[in-house]
Amino acid sequence: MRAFIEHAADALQMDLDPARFLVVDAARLKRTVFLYAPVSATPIAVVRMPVHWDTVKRCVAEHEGLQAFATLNLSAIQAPKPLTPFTWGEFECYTQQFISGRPWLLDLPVRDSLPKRSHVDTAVDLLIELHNASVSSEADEVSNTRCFQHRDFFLGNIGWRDKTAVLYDFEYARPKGYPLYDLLHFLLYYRIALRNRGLMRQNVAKGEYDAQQEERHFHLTAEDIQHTMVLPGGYRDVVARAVARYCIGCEIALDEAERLIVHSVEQAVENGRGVAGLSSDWQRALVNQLQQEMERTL
Amino acid sequence: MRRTSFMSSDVQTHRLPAEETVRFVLGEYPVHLVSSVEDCAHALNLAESGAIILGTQARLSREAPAHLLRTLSFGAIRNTRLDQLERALKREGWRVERVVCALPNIETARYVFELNDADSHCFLVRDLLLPRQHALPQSRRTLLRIYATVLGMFPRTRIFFRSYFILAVRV
Repeated sequence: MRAFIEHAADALQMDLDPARFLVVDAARLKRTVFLYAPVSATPIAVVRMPVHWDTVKRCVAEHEGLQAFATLNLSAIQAPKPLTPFTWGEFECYTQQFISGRPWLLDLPVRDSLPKRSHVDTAVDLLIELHNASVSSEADEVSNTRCFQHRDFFLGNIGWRDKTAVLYDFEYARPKGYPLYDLLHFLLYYRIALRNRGLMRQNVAKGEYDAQQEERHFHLTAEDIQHTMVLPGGYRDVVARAVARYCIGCEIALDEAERLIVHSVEQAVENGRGVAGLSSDWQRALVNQLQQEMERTL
Repeated sequence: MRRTSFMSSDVQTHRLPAEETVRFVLGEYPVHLVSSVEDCAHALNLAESGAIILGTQARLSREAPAHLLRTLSFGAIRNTRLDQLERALKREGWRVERVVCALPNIETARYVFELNDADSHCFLVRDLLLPRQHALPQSRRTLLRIYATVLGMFPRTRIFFRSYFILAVRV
């Protein structure tokens, strides 16, 4: 391990402590190593070591996403800076700066069934800034992609350093993607986090984990869409209000907003699985409410 | 990238084997998982090369006669007496070169850091595990929050250290 850290220090031109590290074997066959400077109490660099073709692609994508984000120069959002990749034995290692931030997920409501209003408002503000800083006047003719899209924008990938948001995990990011997707992702995965509260009942430390007994859900279902965007009241009010503010801030017309909502939910957010079980115009009530919100705000 | 069978394996299997991680951290030595004195002695006798990795859970067999292993079998509240293990290995002609903690257990070893690395321990608990506390039942969520608070005041706390990989080197 010492040799690895010394090699990383040389490749990155950084002073690293060879005696401290945290190795995390996350899912998807990718090892992550957090490294420290001699005098730092928190890591200063992160090394991703993929061991599968799939994760190699994602590490490359993350590296490129960070590079693209770095060109935006946002005031309210930071992201780690990509560092120099290097080779260790047979591994390609993708590295980035580590920025410490207070995880936003710590503030997930304990009992409420709806997202905190302040969380949603803040997310909208951040995403408006991200959109407006990255939107291209030359949208792709076929796909109409035109702005930076993080694609995994949710509480668990956001931290706070004073009043600045720190955005993590860019492995799905696209420098040119769809507006509105990230906001919908934020709202929908907030719902998933609320839904999973208290459901981790197996004792992993004792080696009792059985995937078959897992009660948590990590992927969106038609039931989630029904709950957040179709059924009146509560969550749909939150979504309509947030989307209205975002569309006004990003100058997105209602008809385009509807197309983006349908596209995001039925294809991108659902990872191509579709939304079987919903009606063919499931978005109608939400869009009507969205129209009212936009008119009220304007 | 690495030319192993991982390249063609189903990515749905998700995680690297714990041994891969431990060898990355401690070196390319044989790994023996031990849970009793007999296991430990057997592993030491089998070791042909000058170094081996012993993986041990704190909760070892209650039938283990050696004093040091009875200490290791105490629950989470008691610090594990690795210094006693070190002395026992020394009697067999071995030296403890390095010790790393493996969480949540030695079978999965998802998180690995040096035993004396209080900063990594704190970072793991407060920045990686604590934010995901919402999925835990109330009682364990409270326990984790207390532990994170205690760590903030006493960074060298080792209350929940149960699983270790020990690099032992023949003297």
